[in-house]
Amino acid sequence: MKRIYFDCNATTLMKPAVKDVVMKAMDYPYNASSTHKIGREARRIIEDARNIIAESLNAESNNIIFTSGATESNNTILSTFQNANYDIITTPTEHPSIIYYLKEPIITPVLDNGLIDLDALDKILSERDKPSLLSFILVNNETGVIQPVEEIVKIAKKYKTIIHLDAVQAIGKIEVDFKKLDVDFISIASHKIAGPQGIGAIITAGCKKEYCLDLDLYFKGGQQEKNRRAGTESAALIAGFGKAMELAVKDLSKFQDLSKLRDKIETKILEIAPEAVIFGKTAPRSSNTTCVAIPGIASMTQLIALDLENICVSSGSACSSGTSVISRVLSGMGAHEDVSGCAIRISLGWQSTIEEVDYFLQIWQKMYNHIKS
Amino acid sequence: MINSLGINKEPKDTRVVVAMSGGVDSSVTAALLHEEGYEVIGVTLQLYDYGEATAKKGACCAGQDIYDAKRVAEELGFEHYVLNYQSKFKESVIDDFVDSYLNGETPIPCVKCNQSVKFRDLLQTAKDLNADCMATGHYIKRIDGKDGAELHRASDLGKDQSYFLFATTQEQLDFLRFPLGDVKSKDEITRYHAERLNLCVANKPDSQDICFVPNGSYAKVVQKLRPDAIKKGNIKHIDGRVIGEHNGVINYTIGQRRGLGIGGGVTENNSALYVTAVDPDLNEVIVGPYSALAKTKIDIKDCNWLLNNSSDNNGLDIIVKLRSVQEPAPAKLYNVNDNYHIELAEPQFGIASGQACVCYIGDRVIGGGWIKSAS
Repeated sequence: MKRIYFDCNATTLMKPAVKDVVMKAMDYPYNASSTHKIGREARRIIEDARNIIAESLNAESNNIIFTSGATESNNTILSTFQNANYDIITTPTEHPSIIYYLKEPIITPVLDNGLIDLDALDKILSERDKPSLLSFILVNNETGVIQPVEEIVKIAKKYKTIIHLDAVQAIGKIEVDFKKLDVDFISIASHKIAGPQGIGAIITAGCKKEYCLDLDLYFKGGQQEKNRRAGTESAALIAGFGKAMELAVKDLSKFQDLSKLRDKIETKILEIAPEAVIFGKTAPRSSNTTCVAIPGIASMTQLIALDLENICVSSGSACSSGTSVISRVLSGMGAHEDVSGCAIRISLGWQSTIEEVDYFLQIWQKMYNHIKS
Repeated sequence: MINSLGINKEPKDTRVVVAMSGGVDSSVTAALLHEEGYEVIGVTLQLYDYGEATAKKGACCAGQDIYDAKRVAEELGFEHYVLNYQSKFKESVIDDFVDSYLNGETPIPCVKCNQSVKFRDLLQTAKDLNADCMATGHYIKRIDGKDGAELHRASDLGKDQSYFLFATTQEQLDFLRFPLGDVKSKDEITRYHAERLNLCVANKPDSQDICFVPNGSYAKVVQKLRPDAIKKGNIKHIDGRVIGEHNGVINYTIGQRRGLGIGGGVTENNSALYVTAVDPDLNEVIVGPYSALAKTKIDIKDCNWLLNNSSDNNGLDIIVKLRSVQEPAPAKLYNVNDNYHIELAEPQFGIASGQACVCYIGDRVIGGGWIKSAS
């Protein structure tokens, strides 16, 4: 039986060209801190990748710090501002690497469709009596909802609030122009854009703004990344990240065409099950993601039934222990447990085809009919 | 062709959900069915927050059982899933356990868990997943009788778990399978298979305690969940004298002798005193001599019967178990307008309300109920 992978917001299938770059780099003992020829070759690979990423996102390559991934990126930024006793404002629909890192987050609410409530945000920011950081997810990992970043930035700037965007799920899905975004930090990760796992980055605006802080040295040790992140750089992973970024930006419109497949899934599911609830449907969403609940059929039951047919989807955010819990994101959007506990996330990728979608829908209908019978 | 699970299909076409706790019994159950060629789907339930229950910070053994179950499935190569039933477990088992203690009863959460979380919720999930049956590693026998499936004590009487499964309904039983029911000796056969199949849990010790009660200190669990409900009160002798103070009725069980904190001089010959009753309404613990524990009549409630005609005006001759470790005792079962009561042939000592009264004819479990009162 063919395997269908519709869980691309969890991690992606690496593109062949990316894999080639990674594998090629793995042929050599690359340590970019070494003086010798192989060391210099490693340095070149890393800096080439950094330049590609800078160009792709309209950022300064000097202000790109490679990390092990988005969790480290997010933690590093939050750590800096939390330690400096800033007020940290965030939403109820954030990734665990944000929400569980914060000791006393100030939660600014989202509307039922997942979009940040701008009036409430304005009010919360206006009430701060000390420097603050606003951290939010640009494209939501569970629902695909895209935040109105321009308007949010406008509000934040009124109050001189420092802004961090978790842009992990945004790259390759929407246009990300760092300078145009006009924020202070973004976090990105390679494995969400068809690159290898274990590599990510922080992009900063250079911390010239009032109240901005230089990032804490989260890992201490060697002087890698211009003394901003210790630990031998992985030339192979960084090379793969660079290639993945290049392709993600190049293939952006093709990726956005996935909305046709996504819409077909949603239309057909609603036809079979009119009671289905699609989260964030009235908000702008990334083309590849749908989060759909079938009240009365537990998420896990749907997940297992589909997995037994070799179809990979997930329920909300995948949990490291392999168990599922009620989605914090959906609860944050005001969904009752009876509904959010019955939601699955289908997230398509560059490799997804209409044939896969048709097969998925056929299996989905079979599952639905069996359980409802 | 009827396969070994009594289903008219080839094993490879038979989908079996196996409830896997991560212990040796359910692991062997799953492994043997997999070896026979069945399409095994292992499911492990996450029932409570391990760190919270054991009050260890970042508990090192958190989720070890789930991990073990996953490893067994991975090593043998069958599907395995973890279902988070924490809220169901809290509603159906833990809250009931706490309420029961506060009502002066001695609850058996394992029966509640079997009858709700496992055989109602998990079983429904198994049906939703198009399974043909659900198997567990319980030591109990399911025999196809002329009126449907019957429940019988396990071949290994020392491991027999029929007491904990009396509340299984006929409908549930039809869908359930207990492949270890015929095992003559757990220590010889089950462990032998675990080693033969090279299971990582082969040498894992049997679990002893109630899973969510660390070190058997159930009072601590109750105290944590309902700190306000525990109040000091009087210990009274059955003759009406106040002879001491207790620190909350939850700390006392019928038949308990130790830890009463009563000095000598209460009775003429200083004979031992036992808890004979717990009165949650008056917040009193009543004590008396051993002879006061003797009871012959028992009223039971919330019964489940696995035998048609379990009512008989002249009383049905049965044997009963009033505690899991007790040898079955002869009795008669009466049904008066669906109120069931038991008359024991010989008095039994220390019958606690909240425990199960499980009824047998020979080795067959015919059902039972929860002990409401005894006299």
